[in-house]
Amino acid sequence: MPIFICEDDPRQREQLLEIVENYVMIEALDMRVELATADPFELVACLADNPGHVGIYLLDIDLNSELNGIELAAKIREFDDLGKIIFVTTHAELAPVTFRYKVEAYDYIVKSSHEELRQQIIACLKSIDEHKAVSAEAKGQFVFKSGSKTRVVNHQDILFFETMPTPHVIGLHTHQAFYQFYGRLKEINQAIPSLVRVHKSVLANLETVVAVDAERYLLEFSDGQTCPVAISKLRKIQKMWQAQQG
Amino acid sequence: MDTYLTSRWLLYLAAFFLLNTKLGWLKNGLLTASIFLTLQLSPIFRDALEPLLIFLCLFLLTYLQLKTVNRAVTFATLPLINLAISRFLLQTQYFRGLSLWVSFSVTLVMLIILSFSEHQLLKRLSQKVDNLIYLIPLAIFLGLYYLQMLDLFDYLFIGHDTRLEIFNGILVAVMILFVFTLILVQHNEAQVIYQEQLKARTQIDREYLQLTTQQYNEMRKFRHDYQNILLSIEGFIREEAWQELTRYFQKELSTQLATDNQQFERLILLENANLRQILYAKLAAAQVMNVNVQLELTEAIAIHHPDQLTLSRMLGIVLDNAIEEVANLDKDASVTVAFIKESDATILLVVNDCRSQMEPLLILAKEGFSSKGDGRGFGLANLASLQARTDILVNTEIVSGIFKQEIIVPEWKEGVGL
Repeated sequence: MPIFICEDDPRQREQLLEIVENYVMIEALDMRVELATADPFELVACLADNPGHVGIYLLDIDLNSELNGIELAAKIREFDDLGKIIFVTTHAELAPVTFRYKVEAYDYIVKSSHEELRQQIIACLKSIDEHKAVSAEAKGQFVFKSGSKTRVVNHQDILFFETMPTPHVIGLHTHQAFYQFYGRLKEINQAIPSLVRVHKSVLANLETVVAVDAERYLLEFSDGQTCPVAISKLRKIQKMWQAQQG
Repeated sequence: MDTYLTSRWLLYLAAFFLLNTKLGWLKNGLLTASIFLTLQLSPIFRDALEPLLIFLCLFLLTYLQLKTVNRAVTFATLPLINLAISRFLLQTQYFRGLSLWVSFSVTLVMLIILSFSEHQLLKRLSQKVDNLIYLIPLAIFLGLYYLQMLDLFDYLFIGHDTRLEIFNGILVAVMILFVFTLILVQHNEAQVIYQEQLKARTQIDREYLQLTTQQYNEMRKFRHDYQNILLSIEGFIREEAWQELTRYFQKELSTQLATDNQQFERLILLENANLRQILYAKLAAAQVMNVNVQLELTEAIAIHHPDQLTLSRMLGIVLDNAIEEVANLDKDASVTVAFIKESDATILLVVNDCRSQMEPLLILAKEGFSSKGDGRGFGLANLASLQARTDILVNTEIVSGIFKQEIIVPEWKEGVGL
């Protein structure tokens, strides 16, 4: 895997380069540093010239350039949607909640002492090497866009999808969250065929259902949430669910 | 007669079905076509009761569904008007002598064109004269209906002039009564909406007033402190105790300067007056409740979205929930409000600490549910109903003791209403 480093401070760039190269050499990992630069546009140009790679990117946020690290990450995603993007940064550059919101989709390492930095980078590279890059679908994840942000939810966390009163808006219920995004139940069902259309406006994950309430026409989930079932589909759903349980 | 009855029932069924979904020009056209078909099949085609029945049926159905006189009347009258127009056109010389199916297809096309253009026209008009627009189609419909009835009366009461006049009078009186009732109901509706808006506004104003009072008190306190500080400094200077003065400054004053609340100053970056006002009020309320609220506004934010009142009410509810939750927790808990500008949307992010045993979201959102006992906590259900017909999205997450609500406001290109 190619590794790209973008950091505008030359001393820190050297430091990063040294840590990464040493670790890759000692562990004999299948990785190499392709580019270490201060200029984000050079990185983008390099990706544009050699498309199709899955890389590892170590980026600073404040790059003293027209492009900051977060914008650079978005550009990288256009070329390499499976690559690992890791921000190496100080928290002070943005307000904390705003910062976390913007980099949530990526990993980040907080700049501190040299030794701590080294250990965090090593931990990151190690975990990348162990897991390699697998596409989101293969990992059993559902990917969607809410606002301008891409989000990922594991299949086993999904309780159900439902249509919202606003046209084309879908609500996704999980144990811990409720997301809204633009989409269609039919397309979601194509992306995750294991889900079942239990109602005109509900697409449920039967694996997370704990009980079928045949009197009130409801599916119950483990944390007490419920969703409606169409009367005409109740028997079929009940059978499917029981087959899955057994 | 049997076919006629069946098709009439089919029509009403279709109306039920169509009314269940959002009404558009295509459905409007289809509905009209089915009415036309029904009437074609009917041996009492010219029976004047039929349009009235259909009108009342459509009106009631739509009204029950939408709860607005304006749209119900428009929806119930337009198909019938379209019908009258296309029937009139069919009788002109261009279309005379066509076979039944050809004339039916021509009618269908005409109806769809009419529905489409009316839909477009209404869309334009409704932005300007929203409340009374329904009177136009209503007047046209009643006018056409009246003419039709006159025909019928002429035929029925040939040679009975007094009867003709009596029925004519009754008809006109009923029509006028009907229109007046509609206007009254519509007016009432508008009043209710206005009252609601007024209530929201007063609530915001009241909180604002509270805030200014509190700020005044703070200011007084500050002046008092300030005088004391100056007096102490004066004491040090008089005694020429420079070292004590330095120590006093470093120890007492520099910390005080740092802890001064700068949250309010950052509100300047928010260009939407209504949002600024509600944030102001909630930040102040939080201060009174001793809740720590952090405001993250790192760049100038201007939200261009037509539904500003809804937006500020949504933010108000989310903030209320967050502040109340944190007020019941220990001292370290806090609320953070962040405004984040993205390329095609602005995100209002409210993050707060919460109980570790938080109820699942769907249950929280149930109407009338409150973790604080009965009669409270309509917050999340209210939020859902406010958001229901807008393009604003809301995401909610509870992850390890952190409650996070995200209001996503899409950018409106035309730069409407700040």
